Amino acid sequence: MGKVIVFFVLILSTSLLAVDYFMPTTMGNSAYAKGVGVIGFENSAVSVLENPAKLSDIREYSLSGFTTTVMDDFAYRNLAFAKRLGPHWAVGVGYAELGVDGIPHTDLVWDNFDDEFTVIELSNYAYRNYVVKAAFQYLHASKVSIGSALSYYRTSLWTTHGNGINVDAALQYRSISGLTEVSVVATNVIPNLVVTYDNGAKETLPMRTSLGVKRQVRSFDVYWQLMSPTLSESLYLWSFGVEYQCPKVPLRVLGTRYQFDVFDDVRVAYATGLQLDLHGLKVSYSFEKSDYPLTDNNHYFSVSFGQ
Amino acid sequence: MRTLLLVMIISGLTYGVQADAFGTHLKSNFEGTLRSAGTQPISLIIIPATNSGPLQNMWEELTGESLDDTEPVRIIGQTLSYPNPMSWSKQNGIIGYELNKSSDIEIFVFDMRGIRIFHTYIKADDIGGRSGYNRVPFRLSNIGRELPTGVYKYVVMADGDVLGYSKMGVIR
Repeated sequence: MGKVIVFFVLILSTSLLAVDYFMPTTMGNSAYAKGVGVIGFENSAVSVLENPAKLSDIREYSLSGFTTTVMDDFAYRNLAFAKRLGPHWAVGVGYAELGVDGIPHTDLVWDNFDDEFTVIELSNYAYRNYVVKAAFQYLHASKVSIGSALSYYRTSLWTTHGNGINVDAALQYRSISGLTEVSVVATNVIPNLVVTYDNGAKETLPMRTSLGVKRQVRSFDVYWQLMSPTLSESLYLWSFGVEYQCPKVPLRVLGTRYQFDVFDDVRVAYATGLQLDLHGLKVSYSFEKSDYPLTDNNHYFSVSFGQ
Repeated sequence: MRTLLLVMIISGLTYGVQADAFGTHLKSNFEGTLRSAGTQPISLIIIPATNSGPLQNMWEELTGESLDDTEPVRIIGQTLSYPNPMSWSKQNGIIGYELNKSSDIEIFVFDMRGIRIFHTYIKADDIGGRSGYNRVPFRLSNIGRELPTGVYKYVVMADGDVLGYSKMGVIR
């Protein structure tokens, strides 16, 4: 009985102490995905970063990129490339980064005027957080695709560096009519693989799981998603998105109402955007209201090209 | 509450001190100099702080602080936190900034997504809302949850206006 109690105390302690690593993909990987509020339905190389099973839509090759700057300082970028190797196989590589420069390194100096210490800036330093993913996709049956990605995470802040690896797994189903798609994605499926820092600290790589459904209704694609952002919290986030194909012009209008987590709190946000498709060159833009008082909106830009 | 403004002229250099009606010392910039002034002649001028004129301008030039109640509150110089980066093993720190006048202040912290994760309200008479240099004690645990390694942005505001902001690195 005592051993059982100790076991549960240890389990509880672990979950209380566990801190999830911040992944640079958390902010989103494409303006399209931000515009519809779901992940896993992009039919370009960015699928390497968010749903490797969706590489099934790559016919020959695809190249994609994404950028946004949050709070004027936090620069998110990604780049991905995917190639079809045969009727059943596709592979891809992707890189996503969050970079912040100009963080003040400070010290205290004695102020004779106040007889107390004052904070001064000595220099400044940078923060880099990136992930590299290598993905493959296999078309198991004509309508079911599976995919997986190996992820390498690295962070550097001041003199501290952290590294970790993990694996994503995904499944994509398309109905016979082609009007309905179902996406199941799990990131960091191996729970024991964490990010370890050179000062000995560890952070859990969050196992984020999502179930998404896309349904085409006339000129509309309707999206619905249920996501659990991490295993350490019993949180479920709902998203609902709509995509409208404008008649006679290669333009799609995007909109979403989605939930996101702040610790164990759930908040709601809205985003909208556009996607222009010019013979395989897709240019997307979306925006949402910013929480930060010095910027009104967050703007997201992405581009993809391929066949 | 400012009621008196004293300006001291020692060997041609001007120093100032603020005091309330009971003579309680609030702020000065001459104490160390006074101790080393020796037997030099000192001119002492005492005026009500509510007066306007060149002596108030002199005070503002000396201290950077405003005696004009209609002037908007602002931060003089930089808003900085110490230590930076801040470690969870030594999670006590301060956010330092100098206000030109006392004011109710709000401090917000934003995570790497730009989402507000912490907010505190400071009254004008408390540390953080006083005229002059403020050292606001800041503990990472104030946020209520452990933060992942990364960079967080904090913003100092008064009446909806941003007075200052900066970035804070957090390491585990």
